[in-house]
Amino acid sequence: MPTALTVDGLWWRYPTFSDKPNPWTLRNISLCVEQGSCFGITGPGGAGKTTLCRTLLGILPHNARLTPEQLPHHFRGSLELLGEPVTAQTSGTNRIGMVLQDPENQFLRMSVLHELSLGLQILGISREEILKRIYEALCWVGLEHLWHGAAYIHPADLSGGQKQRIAIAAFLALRPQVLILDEPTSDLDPVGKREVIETIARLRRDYSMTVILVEQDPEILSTFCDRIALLHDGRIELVAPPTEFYTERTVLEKYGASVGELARISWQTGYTYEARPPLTLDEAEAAFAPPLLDKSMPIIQVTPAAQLKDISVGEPVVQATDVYYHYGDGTMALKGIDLTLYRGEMLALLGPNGSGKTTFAKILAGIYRASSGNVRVLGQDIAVRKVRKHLPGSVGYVFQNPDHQLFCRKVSDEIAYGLKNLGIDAARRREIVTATLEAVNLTRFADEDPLFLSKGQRQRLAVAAVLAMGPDILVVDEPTTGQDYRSITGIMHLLCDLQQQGKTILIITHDMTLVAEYCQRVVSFRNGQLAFTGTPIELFSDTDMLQHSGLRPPATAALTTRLHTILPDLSPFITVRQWVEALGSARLAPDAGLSTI
Amino acid sequence: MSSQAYTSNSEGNEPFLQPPPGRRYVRSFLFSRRIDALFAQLHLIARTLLVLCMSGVQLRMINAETDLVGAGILWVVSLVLFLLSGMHARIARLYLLLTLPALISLFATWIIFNPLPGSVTLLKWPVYSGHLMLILAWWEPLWLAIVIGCFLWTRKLLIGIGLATLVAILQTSLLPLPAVTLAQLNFFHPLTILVSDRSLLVAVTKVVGYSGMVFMTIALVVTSRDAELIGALRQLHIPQPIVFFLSTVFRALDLSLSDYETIRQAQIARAINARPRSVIRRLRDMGNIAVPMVAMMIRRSSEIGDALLARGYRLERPNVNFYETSPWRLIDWIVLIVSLVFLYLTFGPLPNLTVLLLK
Repeated sequence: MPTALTVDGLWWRYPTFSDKPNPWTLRNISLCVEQGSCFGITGPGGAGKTTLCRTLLGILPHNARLTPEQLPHHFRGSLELLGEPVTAQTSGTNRIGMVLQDPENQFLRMSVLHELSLGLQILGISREEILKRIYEALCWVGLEHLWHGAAYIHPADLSGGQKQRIAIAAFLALRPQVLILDEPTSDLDPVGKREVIETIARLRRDYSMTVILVEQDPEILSTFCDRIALLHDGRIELVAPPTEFYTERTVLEKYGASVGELARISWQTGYTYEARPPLTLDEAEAAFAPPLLDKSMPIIQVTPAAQLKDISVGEPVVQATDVYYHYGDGTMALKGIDLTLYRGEMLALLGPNGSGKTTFAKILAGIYRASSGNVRVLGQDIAVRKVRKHLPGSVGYVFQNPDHQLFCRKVSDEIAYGLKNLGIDAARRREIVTATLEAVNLTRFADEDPLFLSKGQRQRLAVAAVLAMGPDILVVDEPTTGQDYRSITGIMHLLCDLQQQGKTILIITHDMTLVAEYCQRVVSFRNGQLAFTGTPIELFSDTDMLQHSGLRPPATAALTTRLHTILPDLSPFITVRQWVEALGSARLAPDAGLSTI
Repeated sequence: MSSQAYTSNSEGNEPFLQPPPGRRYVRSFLFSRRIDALFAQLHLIARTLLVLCMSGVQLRMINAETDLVGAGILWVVSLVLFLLSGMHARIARLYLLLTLPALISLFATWIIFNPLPGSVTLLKWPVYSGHLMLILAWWEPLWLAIVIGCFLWTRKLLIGIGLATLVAILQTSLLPLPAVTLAQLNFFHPLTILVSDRSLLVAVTKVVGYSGMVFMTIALVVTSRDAELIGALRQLHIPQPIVFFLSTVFRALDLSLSDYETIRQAQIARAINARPRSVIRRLRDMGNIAVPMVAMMIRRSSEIGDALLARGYRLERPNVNFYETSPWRLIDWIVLIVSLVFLYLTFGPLPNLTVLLLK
């Protein structure tokens, strides 16, 4: 098969303004992508994935404004696209395109029609041809219903998934042979995610386009990619087809790659499918069902999931009754919400974008004011202006993007900012700042500028800044969206520690694994109304409910549901740990009778 | 796929240029307007010229001529344009309410600071004699003592000053105590509030004229869309890089506005409203917003740059027109002629309708 892309001995480092050179971002990268294949790239944040994409497109080093003398100090190696070297002109030819992570930033014009036509206008194509191509592209991504009125549809009228599909269509209209997708689904809700994934599947199936897919989600990677590369600290540590890729436990664990739940169960129990970890539910059933079916196994006791753990759930801290909220233009965001939060619980707030979950959380934090209804926080009515003003001292709200909430040029000032606003005196403030920095492990960065911290550190700082104000209730908005496995574990451990200290935590999330592993209770919103309240186990076993809310259970829970047909007595396992304990003791029972973990 | 599914045979009837099904409003520079708003049917250049030239005549009528009748007629025309702009009725009402205080203060300042003598004097009130006097009086130590006492007791300055001033005024008017004039120096000129029939006429004309201009400007901004502006600049043969730069700026502004909203909320979440704040603190809060705003802009700009390059954008490359420009029609010619008449009236002879009517 002819090659689409060849990279040989690629090194790159970004220029600096000081004498000290930056470390290399890409180190000796060599790879080869065949035409018509899908090549996956994964790796933790800061590994150089986006930088690699920029070099493939020729944006780096050609748009970095380096002189011919400087160039060898920053760039080495060679890149070829479809047999020709990658140059400054490559990104301008329509042979390669790149879809970025943030759907907002790549929507460059103010209407769908002009967004799609932008690249073709630059190529100087005739109006008739532009129309034909963009209509075709819109059909390819399944958005032909937006054609009627395309000149009037503003980016703000579209959902994240739709925007991302428009971005893909804008490149399809240019008819590229290679399409790079840089974490195209990580900023999207489950519905948007599925829309984009189905579009990618279609591109692969119907148009045999060469796709380079940068992604964290192991499920997406193993479904679509022919080969997957693991990038860590600028180096390619592993390249293999999905079936072999997920067998490399040592490498993947060492470099912090995200690994699916089924593979993790297989790693820890030793049960495999054709001598490798199962990647699909079918394979998982074939691998894990036989040991469970073995009736000679003793009945095993499995650690209950988070919701059944002995966490002392106390008195109600938030009581919302019949809460309504409408926006300035009259649209109803909340239609009569009744919800109670209990001290010490971790509650997940689920629902598609626009279902009102963020609005409700902002009402609890005093950012919005309910149009009608009653909300009592720690016994006080927050409709009272004075109570609402002091609410940040009892309800903390951590926004999704840390960049939106860091106001100071020094890490320690950032933590002191809210304390100053609450009128806490200087000596006490210093004490709290030191203790908080210690708690989130940022003490050595106390004098740094938050801008220069990594994304994971910035997020910890954002949590710390809210935490310092001493709230009893913490609202965290999508803390794990677009993050790698280690950052997710880091932030969740921090939240668990806080819960141990008796704080009530409300997490707005789309991540079902997180719900299964950490949350005691789940509330799901739909169209501004409460659609479900209960434990994660109840949610994941209610298939109708899941379908209605556009939610997908984690692979662990889906496997349980599937095995229920052949194993009606199977306990409702929803975490990796539970599966490992069940299978692990099943395997070891005859000789040892011990639990492995 | 049928080859003609994406377009229709008749020009101007293409599905993608029609309003989306079920939608009546479209986003514009300011909020949104009805898609079929009458004023928006005019070409952007024609609309802008009309508003500029009408404002020119309006300015002349209220400043040079003080022609209340003429300004009133133009006010009615402006109001009609405002009503034809297709603004959401709720927002239109809100804006009318917002302009009221501005107009009232305009009226008040004009009356107070422009003592125009007329045939009938309605009010004459000298407020300043033209010199400052240095006086030693009993009320001064009293005032100081109350302010200091109040501050020591309550730690609040403004309450003390208010109370002290009240006591001082009461003392001077009820119990006149001896005072010594130390010096007298001339400063500025004497001020008198004088309201005559003439000054009242001028003030009313100004209010009518300026409110008319406010209506016209709102109508222009509400009806204009950025896509239209890009098209108009293209038709005026503005260089491509400038047009492209502007279109990107509009998009970036749109993003910045939504960032601002979130950042503001994040500030509230950090107890910014917990205690009453001085003006200086409030200014510093505004300054604090700049930090995340700039951080977001830097991060976004690098991605926007990548997205542009990936689509093949190069500064030197021209790009072709694609449904950006709107056609110049007969109605636009008519509006252009009307605008030229207004332009002539701005600089040429202009009859004062009020004077004519009074004769």
